[in-house]
Amino acid sequence: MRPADGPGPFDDPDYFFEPWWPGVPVLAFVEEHHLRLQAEELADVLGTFPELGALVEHVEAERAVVEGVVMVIDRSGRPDQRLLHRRLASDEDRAGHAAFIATDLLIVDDHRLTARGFASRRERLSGILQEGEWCVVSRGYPGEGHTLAAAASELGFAAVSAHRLAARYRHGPAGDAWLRLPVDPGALPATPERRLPPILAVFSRLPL
Amino acid sequence: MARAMWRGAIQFGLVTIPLKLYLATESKGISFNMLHATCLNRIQMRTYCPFHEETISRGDTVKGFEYAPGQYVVVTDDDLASVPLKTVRSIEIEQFVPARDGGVPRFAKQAYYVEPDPIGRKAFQLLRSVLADQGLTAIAKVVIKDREALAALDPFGSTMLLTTLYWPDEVRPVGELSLGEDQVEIKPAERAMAEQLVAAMTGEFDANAHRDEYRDALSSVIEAKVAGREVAAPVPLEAGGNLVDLMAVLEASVAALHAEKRAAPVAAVAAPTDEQLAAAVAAEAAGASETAAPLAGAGPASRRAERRRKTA
Repeated sequence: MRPADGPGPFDDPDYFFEPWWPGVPVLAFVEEHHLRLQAEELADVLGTFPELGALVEHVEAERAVVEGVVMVIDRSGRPDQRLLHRRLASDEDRAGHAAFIATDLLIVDDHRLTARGFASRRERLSGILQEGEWCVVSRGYPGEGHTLAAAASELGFAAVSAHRLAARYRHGPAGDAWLRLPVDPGALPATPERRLPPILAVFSRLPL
Repeated sequence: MARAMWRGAIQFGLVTIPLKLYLATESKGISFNMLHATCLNRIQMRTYCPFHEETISRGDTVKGFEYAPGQYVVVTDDDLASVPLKTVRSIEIEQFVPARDGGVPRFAKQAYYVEPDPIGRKAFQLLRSVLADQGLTAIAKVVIKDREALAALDPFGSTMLLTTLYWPDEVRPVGELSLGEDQVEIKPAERAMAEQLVAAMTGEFDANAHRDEYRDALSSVIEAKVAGREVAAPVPLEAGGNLVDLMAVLEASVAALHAEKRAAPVAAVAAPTDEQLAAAVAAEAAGASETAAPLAGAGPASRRAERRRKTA
């Protein structure tokens, strides 16, 4: 599911707001204790973040497809874009520690959840993911876009995510089911991706 | 230039080009000596014979080939000198192949610069220029350090580069790897993106643009120690913080904002109640085969924070 860009924060009881975690969106495929981390349109990035191999131990299901974000956190536990880019530039680089923030659950065991609403999927996600120091379910708040945006801004995040609670999972463009809302639209450059060095060209296409 | 590693001649057909080989590369890695921890003296690796229970000199050793477990046959220098090899003192060119032939994978061992003796310079330059002009590599055999090696001879600037290669039976088959290429389906969009990435990162190779950063950092540490300065401990980048703490910070931030709103004279937009959210889930899940659980869209800590907010 690819988010649509929204104009800015808003309050709406039909939406669930959480920070737009600054990292690489991935689908984590867990099957019989094997893990594949598929970045959008890319191959398995588990080699870049090998410590996430232990993610299978945190998923309490034989089979699951979890949507989430891979970040690299520094010693204080904050996401660090510089460390993330170093990791992406070289598989040999082991800067920081990779972390996984789960945001959605598509499949668990024999149940395909994509026809269910986001709220229901998220509830199931909280039930199957055993949280650890580098593996957590994202925190968010229904209805309170402005509050969440203010909190995200304090943490240095540029945007918040808004999932419509009743929306089914959609492959491809999400429409109004999932929005990326800049915390401060006026403060963000129109096309920040173009400032990235060429090595990150492919990632500029990802909704980082 | 250091001393020549090898003397001999290039042989192809009736042409002989006497020459010398020099190592083209050198390791710049930082090496350490083993010291006795208590006195800091260098330890010695002595040659010890467990049968005679005594330390012996290297001059008292011979080469032995283990043909069966614990069974050896002694091979002397005379035995090695009598090995009937045509390539003992020559670089025997076997064939010429396209220089950029992708079908000829190269597993290189060591590169040598070639320096022709004065008497062979003309033939040497003739061979070099022909290979360069026609884009060819000479595949040859040569004996270096008592071992016959497969080698590739390529034009390299004003000289040629001899690169010794692993023999085919020394190269492990890729069949040992689990690649699963027949199970991979590459979509056109994926290929297009990969091609864009490759295009974005394509450029001329400049070896000087790459540095051994680990060696530089290690040298700095050693130099500081030699100078008696305090060595700054490197930041342990491998160690990461705790992501749960980040979530706690977020929750605390939201809680503080809630408190501010409650204190403000203007009423904030109220968050939906659990009953409202549960109703949303129930309505959505009405057509689903599974039983929908009550909504708890956020993680456990989030729910705790929500309860805290409601009970505050």
